[in-house]
Amino acid sequence: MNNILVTKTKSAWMRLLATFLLAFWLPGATLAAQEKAPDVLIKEISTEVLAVLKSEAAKADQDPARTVALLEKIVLPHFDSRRMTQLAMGKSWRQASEAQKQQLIDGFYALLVRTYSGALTQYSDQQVRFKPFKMAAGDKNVRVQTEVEQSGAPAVPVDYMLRKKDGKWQVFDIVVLGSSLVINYRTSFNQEVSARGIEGLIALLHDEKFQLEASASGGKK
Amino acid sequence: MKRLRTTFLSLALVSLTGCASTPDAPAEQGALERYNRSMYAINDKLDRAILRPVAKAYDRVTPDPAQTAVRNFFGNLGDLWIGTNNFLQGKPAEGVNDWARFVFNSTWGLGGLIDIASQAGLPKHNEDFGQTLGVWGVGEGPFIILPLLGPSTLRDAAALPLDSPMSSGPLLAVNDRAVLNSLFALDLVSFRATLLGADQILQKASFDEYAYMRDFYLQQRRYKVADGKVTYDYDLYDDDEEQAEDE
Repeated sequence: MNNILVTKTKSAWMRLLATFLLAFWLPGATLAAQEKAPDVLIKEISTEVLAVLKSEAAKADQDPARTVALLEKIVLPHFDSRRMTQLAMGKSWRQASEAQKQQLIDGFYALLVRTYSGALTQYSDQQVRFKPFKMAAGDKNVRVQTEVEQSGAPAVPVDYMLRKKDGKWQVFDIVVLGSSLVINYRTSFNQEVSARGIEGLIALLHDEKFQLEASASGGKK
Repeated sequence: MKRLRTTFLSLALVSLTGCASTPDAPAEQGALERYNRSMYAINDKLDRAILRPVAKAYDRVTPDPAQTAVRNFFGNLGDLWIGTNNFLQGKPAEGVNDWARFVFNSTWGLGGLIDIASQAGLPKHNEDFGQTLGVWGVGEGPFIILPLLGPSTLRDAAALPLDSPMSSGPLLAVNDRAVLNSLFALDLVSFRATLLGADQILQKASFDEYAYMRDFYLQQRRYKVADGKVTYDYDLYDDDEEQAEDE
């Protein structure tokens, strides 16, 4: 069991402490991330995310909007949202102007964060195990492999794809059970672009974003 | 449940006849996609009306350790069939692992309620006969939405008449229909409860929920057949400006 990173926090006190430290640590953690190896980075992010989910789930006044804000703070500095959007768009990406690209990135990013942070709250009783990390000197894209374990079911492989950008490793895709969360959007994005153009997709992404914001703040309060 | 299976069996057998023709067809076209989309909508309505609320209630009233024990129990019964498939795929070490899991968990794991085998270093695998057919070189065929049972491919559907009963393993020896039916219902509800987070992702993740689900299903099946040896070509659509940054 030694090689297993048990992310379950031991007590309510630990959870409080984790949240507390999180608030103070983040600026420092971001600075230090420049020299961090990809696997170390992913370990830290997932530990922090799980700590937030635990502490938020334990609170009496559960507020999805607050949870999302907390998660964004952890995840945002380490995700390459431009590359994610580009991969989701595939061949349509080149049709977009720079201003449109920025709108696409904003819309897609908001969609991802709200979708997954909302659903993540269901996964508080699971554990993350890290597989041995390998990378060669010249690797451009590296893969950090983890397994999410739940008793009675086979472990679900979750792989993080990272690439160096401005001297910092950044996540550009998450592959769950062999399915790329980013590339999975390609079919529907390209369909939308061929039906209503880049502007149509932008409108749709931002429309979706508003709906989610409304449901997040209008939910449990 | 029995009736449901018979429906399935005939359906799968009918579909088997057309199986060899299109091993590597493009995602979907025309009439089949129209059928799939409407069947998906019907399944979704049924799920929202019945299964999802029941699973939610189950999730609310059942303490986590009890939910785990239920998952462990049915998971243990499935290990025999998982092991058989590993043997059929030419992976004897994995097969022995799975059968040993069943022996350990059925005895020291109190009839499968506790998964002590995992803690002892015998991991749980994910295999079924659909995957075995894939390993043997049978193409997946077109993507189809089965009534009540959801996404599948022609190949996986053809394997279901074997997969569905065999994954219940020793439970098939139970003669009492009422007991058997309640156990199947519990298995179904427990399984649905594990998906309560995932279905939320699906609903919010995309404006074309059906296409998103279809691509996810196909990708994860291919991944399982290949035992994880699948990679994406991430540089295929690489941007000019991004490449310039790397120089």
